[in-house]
Amino acid sequence: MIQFYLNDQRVETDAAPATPLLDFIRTHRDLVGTKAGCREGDCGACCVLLGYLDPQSKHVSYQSITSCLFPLGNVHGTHVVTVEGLQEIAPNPVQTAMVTRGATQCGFCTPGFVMSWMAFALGDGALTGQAAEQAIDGNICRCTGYQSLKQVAQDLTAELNRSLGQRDLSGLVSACWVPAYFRDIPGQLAAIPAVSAGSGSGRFLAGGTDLLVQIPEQIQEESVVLVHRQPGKRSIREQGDSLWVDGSATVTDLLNSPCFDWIPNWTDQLRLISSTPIRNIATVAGNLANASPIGDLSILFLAMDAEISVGIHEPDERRFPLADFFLDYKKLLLNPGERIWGLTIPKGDSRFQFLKVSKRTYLDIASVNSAMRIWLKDNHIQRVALAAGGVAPVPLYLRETSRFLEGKKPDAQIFEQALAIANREIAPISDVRGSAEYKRLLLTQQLKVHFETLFRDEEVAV
Amino acid sequence: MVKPPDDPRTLHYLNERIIPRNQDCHSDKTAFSVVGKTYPKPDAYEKVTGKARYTADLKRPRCLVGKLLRSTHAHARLVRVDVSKALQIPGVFACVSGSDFGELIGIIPWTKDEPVLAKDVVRYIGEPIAAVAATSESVAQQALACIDVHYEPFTAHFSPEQAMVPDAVLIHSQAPGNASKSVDWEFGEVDSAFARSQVEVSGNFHFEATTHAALETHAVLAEMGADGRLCVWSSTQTPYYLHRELATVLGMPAHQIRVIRPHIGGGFGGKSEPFGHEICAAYLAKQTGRPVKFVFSREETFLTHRGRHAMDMDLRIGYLPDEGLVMDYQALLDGGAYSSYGMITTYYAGTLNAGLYRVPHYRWKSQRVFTNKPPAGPKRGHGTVQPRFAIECLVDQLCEKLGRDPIAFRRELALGPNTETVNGLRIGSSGFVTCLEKSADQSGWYQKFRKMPFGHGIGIAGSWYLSGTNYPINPESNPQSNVQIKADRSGLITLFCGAADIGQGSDAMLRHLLAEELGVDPNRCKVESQDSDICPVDLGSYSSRVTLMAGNAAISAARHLKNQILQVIAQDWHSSTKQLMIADDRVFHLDRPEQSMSFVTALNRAESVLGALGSTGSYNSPNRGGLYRGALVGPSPAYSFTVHIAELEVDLNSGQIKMKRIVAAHDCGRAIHPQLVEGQIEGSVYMGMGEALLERYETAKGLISQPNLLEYKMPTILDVGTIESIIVESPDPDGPYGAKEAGEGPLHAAIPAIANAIYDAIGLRLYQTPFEPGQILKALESGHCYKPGLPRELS
Ligand SMILES: Cc1cc2nc3c(=O)[nH]c(=O)nc-3n(C[C@H](O)[C@H](O)[C@H](O)COP(=O)(O)OP(=O)(O)OC[C@H]3O[C@@H](n4cnc5c(N)ncnc54)[C@H](O)[C@@H]3O)c2cc1C
Ligand code: FES
Ligand code: FES
Repeated sequence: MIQFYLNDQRVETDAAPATPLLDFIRTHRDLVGTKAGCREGDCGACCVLLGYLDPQSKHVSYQSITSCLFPLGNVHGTHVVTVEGLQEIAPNPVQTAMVTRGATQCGFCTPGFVMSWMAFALGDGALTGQAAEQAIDGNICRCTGYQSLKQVAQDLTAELNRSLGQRDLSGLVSACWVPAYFRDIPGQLAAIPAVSAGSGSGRFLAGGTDLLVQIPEQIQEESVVLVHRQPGKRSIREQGDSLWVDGSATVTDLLNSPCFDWIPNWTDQLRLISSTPIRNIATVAGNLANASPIGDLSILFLAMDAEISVGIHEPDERRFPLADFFLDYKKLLLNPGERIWGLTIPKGDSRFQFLKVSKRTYLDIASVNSAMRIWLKDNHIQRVALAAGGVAPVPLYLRETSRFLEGKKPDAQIFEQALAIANREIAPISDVRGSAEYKRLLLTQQLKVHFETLFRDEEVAV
Repeated sequence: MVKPPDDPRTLHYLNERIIPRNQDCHSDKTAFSVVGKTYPKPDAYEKVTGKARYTADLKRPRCLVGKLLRSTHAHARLVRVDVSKALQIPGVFACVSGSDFGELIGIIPWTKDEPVLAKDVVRYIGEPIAAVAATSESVAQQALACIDVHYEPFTAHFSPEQAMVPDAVLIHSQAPGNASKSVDWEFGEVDSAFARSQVEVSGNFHFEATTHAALETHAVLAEMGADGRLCVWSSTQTPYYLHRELATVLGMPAHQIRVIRPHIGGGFGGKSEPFGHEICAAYLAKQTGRPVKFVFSREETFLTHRGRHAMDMDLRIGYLPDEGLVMDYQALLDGGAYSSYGMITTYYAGTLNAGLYRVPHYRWKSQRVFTNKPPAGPKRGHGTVQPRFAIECLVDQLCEKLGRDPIAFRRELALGPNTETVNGLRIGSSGFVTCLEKSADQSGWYQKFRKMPFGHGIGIAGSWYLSGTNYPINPESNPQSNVQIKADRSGLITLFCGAADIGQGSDAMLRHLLAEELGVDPNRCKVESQDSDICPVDLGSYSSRVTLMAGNAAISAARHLKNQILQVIAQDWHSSTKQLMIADDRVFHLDRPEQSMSFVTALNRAESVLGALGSTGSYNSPNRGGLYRGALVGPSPAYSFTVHIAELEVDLNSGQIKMKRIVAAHDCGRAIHPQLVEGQIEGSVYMGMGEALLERYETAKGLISQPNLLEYKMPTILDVGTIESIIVESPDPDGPYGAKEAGEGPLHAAIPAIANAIYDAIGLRLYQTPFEPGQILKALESGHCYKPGLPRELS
């Protein structure tokens, strides 16, 4: 039995846990304000709010998600808000700003934009115009050209800043951003009994952003093991001289985690991955297990020199370098029933950078991505981890190039040689994301940029 | 080659307008109280609160799910389509195939070549073959899987070149050589003009096919009433054409059919013709007695297509200092499997090329070819976007060769107001030169052009477009747009008109004109446009026709109503109607300041004297244009003008283009509702930008390569940079209060402006859309890139 709050209503349902939340909302509950534009996570017309209760603080934190891909089973114990769950009587400030600025033309995208901005208003991120624009990076509008929406972003930021003193829930209620029933939600969610995630047998299902695209019908018939977890349980934490990243951590968790503060522009780099409502649900384990040769997180963690923990019952039944995990196209060093529990990343004085080039800069799959981490000592390269995607059937750990660089003193000639070795290690193919030749060129360019930025203080001319 | 019967040189540029005034046009007013002001669109609150209902949102009791079986072959004989097994599945109420329908459908009366469901032959992968109505999605899917289809494959053609080889298998038996439509014209003396020309440029351009990708997928719901009347709700831009087609194909009297257009989640040309699935829904509803609803998946919407034709264009332009330009142009259009609007597209591929600038010598050939791919059709800027890309890129090259500034050169060449093109298109007002000046000022053109560092570029392009066509699709003498007004004693004024608001805001535009003409508060005015039972016919939202045509009709109707009211009051006040006016919701006497009356009181007084108050208005466009065959495509009551200046940065490491800004100046005649005009400009610029940089509707062996919105890429908010719109008003005598179109014309120039900006940035000329990072990075790596205008060693 899945139990949750849908707007101000308590819902109990026996529907299949892999049912897309969108179908439940529109078909079972007749809440047709939420639209279906693609059913594949690409347009944001289906965005709703997902609120998780923090049992300690009794605070409910809201995020926008694409309901077309989010499995219904994952919403147990949460508060789901659709456009119908906002002010019934009068439009709220988001809606008013959209009307005033003429930011709704055909209107089909509009409820999705409203909900994404509600997540922005209810969240605790920076209140800047830029942040307000980033909040709608997963919402496509085919009509407006976004100019009027940019004005709305400014209006909302100004309005929220004006009432900043009262950005807590009661403040937002009294300023009519959200209806009064939101006040009761924490208490009501607390009364829903917890279920133990990850029980049962079958295919693992996390955020659903791969599975519900790949096998939307089949997955609803199968028995699944839900491994998505509430925010408090998907930890990213320091653990002695390493970092632990739980497999259920989402891309947004990574983006917000202070554990990566040592990486300059970390948030900008992660914003190149999918879009806000997808990042809010897409998980690390899902990305690794999906084994896409251009999986951004796979590349990123390969280059962090991470170790992966897998096991049927517990985290550390087996632990080995992530570099050994990807065997061949979509073949993994993972036994049936084994779950990815998380990653262990060595800490240490090092530098890291992730690069991604895609046809569309945002909300796109990479043509080529790459990441590099270096440890320097006494003007020498002590250790290197370099990985690249889109250039082989697997997310590729560039082993030879990495080994070659180790122990060397960085200079232009060494980099030239490294480029040559890297070019031997890769075998890109031509596909919709670019020709083999282009991908080779791209990786070469990216490696140059890695050398330039990561060794910027070493005064080497690249 | 066929020569036009009248010597075009005698039609030369007219110094004054010789066209008789069209009594349907109302451009006489110059001071306004509502027009020019922005009010929220009447549907805005419904939309932001999620209350607006689109077709997929509608529910009817006992509704069945409709689904289509689609061809898996690009070209094959359909030996057998047997639905008998499907019919035995519990929950399946009906299943039909091509043999159930006699008539072929198609929007152009002369090229009806598309079956409702494929019969005998399938012509593209994804073509509908059978339709089922069942109790649920899964039963319907199951039923489709049980339909026995036997194909006998033919050779399929995936490019016009392939389809045109001698003796190629024919896609339509009535189209020899797989030719869908050809046009071949010469105006002026092209060869001798080239011989005289000072400078000449030429290029072979390819414009990639693109599609509309409106956010709402196609959807239709049909139900037979107990009274035997059929009701169809559909996501359509052209409810009237759907109405006609339903009557014809189903053999029903038209008055027994009601078409309702709910809110539409965007069209852009993709929903502007009757489709097989709409007919199927109605047919199945008739057959089962139950409501039947089809909602297409995103992939099905991609398959339905009717998007922009891929075009190969050979263009040669020469410059004749005293005369203008000479142009020799050939276009090859990849039409896909059916005609759709293709006959018209083939004309549009050439007809607007000889305008905007002075082009006294113009030779043009276009050829549309059938291929085994989803049918191409009209997309925003129908057929004219592709050649404008080629022309504006070559004009940029001309400027460079001549050492002329692109703005000064365009100003010199501009065709100006009250002129006529060599192929007989008569231009009324033109604000093109103002567009050039304003966009140059706002963009800082003179400080930037050829002056920014390598990798940074700025580029300009111009374009023009029609505001509706003088000759409607169906040759009929009825008006192109009709309006009816009902005035209620409550003070509510309701305007009824079948014009399809697809999000562009035509309801708001009509309400504005109604309030303006009556002198009342727009909030007491309401527009009803969704229901064919109560709204008089308007032909629909295509060819940028609604503002001009429905707008003029609305003013006519409002004027009649006003006169009725004023006549009664004038009699009461013992004066003439000329001495009275309505403003700010009151009736005033111009000479007696103390005498006035609220509008509602006046309305009640008029009703008590005259009985029920109402009025009608209509619009029909004037007969204009050349006298040769094909001259009827292109003439429009009025033309809009646009200039775009694009500024961007090329990432030298990846070849990616980062858009910084596009300044778009658009002459819409009169901005009735400025915010809506800006919205149309911004949306058009955005769509053009997408086509320039990202969008590609490709097929591999007839199968679409990008059937989803992740692979069919449109810019997100983070990709677009800033779009700055500048409204230029040059009122046209034919427009309602001078208004012209704004919905399509501001698209074209984005693509060549971006191409020209890339040239300014890195010295690379691009001849093929989209301008993907792959080709740019390759050029950068090859070392051939440089900063134009600077000596090579400096760049
Ligand atoms: C619109 C859109 C944009 C996207 N953009 C990007 C992008 O830019 N970059 C990118 O890399 N990816 C992108 N993706 C892909 C996807 O979001 C990621 O791969 C994501 O990390 C998958 O995580 P999930 O939790 O949603 O996985 P799910 O779909 O839930 O699962 C994916 C796979 O992982 C398995 N799995 C899940 N959890 C575990 C576990 N704990 N142990 C073992 N197996 C497990 C599942 O069985 C399944 O095989 C995009 C997807 C969409 C829809
Ligand atoms: S429907 Fe498009 S993202 Fe969900
Ligand atoms: S308003 Fe039409 S898609 Fe945004």
